[in-house]
Amino acid sequence: MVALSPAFQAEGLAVRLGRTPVLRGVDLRAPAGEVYGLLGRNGAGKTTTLRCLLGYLPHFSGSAKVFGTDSRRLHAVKTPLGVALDPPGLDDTLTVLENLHLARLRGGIQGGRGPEECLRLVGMAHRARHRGGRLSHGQGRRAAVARALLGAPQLLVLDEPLSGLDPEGVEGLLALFQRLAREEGVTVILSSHHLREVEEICDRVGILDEGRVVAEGPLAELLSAVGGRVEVGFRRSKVTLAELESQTQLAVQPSSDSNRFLLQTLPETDLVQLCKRLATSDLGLNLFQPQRPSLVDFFRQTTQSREETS
Amino acid sequence: MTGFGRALRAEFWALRRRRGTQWALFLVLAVGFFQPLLRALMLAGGEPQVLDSLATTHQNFWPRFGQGAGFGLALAELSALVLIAGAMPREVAQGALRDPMARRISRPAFATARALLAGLLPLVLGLAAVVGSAVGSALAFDAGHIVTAPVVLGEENPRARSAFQDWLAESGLSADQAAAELERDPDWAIPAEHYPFVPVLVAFEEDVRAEVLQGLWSGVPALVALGLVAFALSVFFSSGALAGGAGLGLVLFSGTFSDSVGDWVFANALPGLGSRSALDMATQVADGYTDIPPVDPDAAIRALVAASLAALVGVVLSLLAFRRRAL
Repeated sequence: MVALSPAFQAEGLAVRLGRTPVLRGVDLRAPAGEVYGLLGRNGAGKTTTLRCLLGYLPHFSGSAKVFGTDSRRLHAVKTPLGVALDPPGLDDTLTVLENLHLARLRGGIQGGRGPEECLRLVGMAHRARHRGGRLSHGQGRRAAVARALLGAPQLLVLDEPLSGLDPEGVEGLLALFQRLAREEGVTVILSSHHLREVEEICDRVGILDEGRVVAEGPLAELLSAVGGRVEVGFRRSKVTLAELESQTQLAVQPSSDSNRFLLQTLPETDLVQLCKRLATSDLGLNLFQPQRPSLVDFFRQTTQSREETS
Repeated sequence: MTGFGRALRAEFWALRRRRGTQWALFLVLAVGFFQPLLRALMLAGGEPQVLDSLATTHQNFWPRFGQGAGFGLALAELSALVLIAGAMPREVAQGALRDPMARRISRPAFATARALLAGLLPLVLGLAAVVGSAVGSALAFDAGHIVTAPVVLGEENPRARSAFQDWLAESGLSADQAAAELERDPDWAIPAEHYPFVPVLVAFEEDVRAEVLQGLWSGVPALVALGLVAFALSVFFSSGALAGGAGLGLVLFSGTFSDSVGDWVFANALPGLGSRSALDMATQVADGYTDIPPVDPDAAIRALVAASLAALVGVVLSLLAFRRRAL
């Protein structure tokens, strides 16, 4: 089921915690049925944004809506939600399984995935009888995600779900989120610092920096707007950065090998022409390896350019 | 089911499974049970029975039951206060209250469900204290009219004493019943040689029973109010230690105002810790320490009004505060 309203929408969202402005006019929009990555450095405002969008922080200005309903009235949203924020929010005095049963009672969940199945999906079935307070950081995250999966949620809001997880855990959860989005049409909103992993599954990203959205949109569109990188190598020794910069009119970084360099290409850079120009120069081109722009590049460029501006 | 119904059902389910609640219930039950037994051991060592089958003041079921219940209730009140007041700050810090809000439960519905259970928890713990004390006291003491040891001129005469015992056995009476008969009917036919052995009646069992039970019942509103006030403190304070400390301060120091506005402070009417506990006064009467009527009807009404007001204020303020609480 795909709702017509955006799953998540923030307009001019501003929050102060004490005297400190944490969000300064955040505009975000997550269409239903997509995987949305909310990115940003530590303290950028990701968790605060999610807390506002779920009505956990009622003191905000601007507008925050979940499936068209004001987030302060989250209880009125009929679409089933699954939430796993940071910290995981397990009751320490109950076992993991009891925590999930409690959530099921609270939600009046009868069909869909049951507690045991959810624990199995996140690889926590063997910890079902452990108390919430005795779990490691990563296990707590998994248990919180398991709780969010109960029933058949149509919107999953996950704050740093990959934090503290081992590589298999990261891989497993990402595959799970992707499957839920593709096969069940679940909207997944996740904040994360795992940019490479997020890039694999996200349809759309929003990047926060110092409480503001510095970039937002479909991932493919955002990446196409930044240049990629090309690794080049030369037969001739002692090629200088300045020489290469004047030849290509691009930013150049040295590579690990003394005769190899990284060219920072622009969106409008014609790679075929660039290759021809270098091949016909007296540098003796022997390597021309374009690299697709990554989310990491985009993130660095976006946040660095802001730093330079400020 | 409505959001409130689901919240109430889930919170009740969790309350029964939380280790803190289970431990508190066990400890309160144990204190209620063992206090009368320990008292029986102490009495057995220090206060010899004057006559066989004679339950003197301190060896009667009712004062011992009242005292054991009072001890258990004091622990129940402290436990309830700490558990309730400390719960929400801890849960907010852990993020444990975010999940219910994502399950189509509104904040007022959740807070109301929590408040109801906060009012219920002291009652459940209090009931455990009463049951524990009833069982412990019944094992160690017999019920009966409250009597003191007789002022016996012929006590040193073993033959006369034995004759009185035989006469009691033939009449199918216990010593306290003889005292009660004599109190009700001074012309009651009792052989003159037995008079010195008849104990002195302090109170009829039915009166003491009614007073002790009334003392227990009259503490119910204060117990409910305690739970609700503790819940309000848990919403207002961001630290569990502060919330619990404020609650303890309220309960322990409210006796300071006992002389002036004592009846108007609900904490003074708490059956365990209250400085004007009706149960405590009924127990003292049963123990023969005082003959002041334990429950003054006007004071009981004032205590009821005070507890109701405290409960109402606690609920309203906590509902209002929880609406704006950052989770």
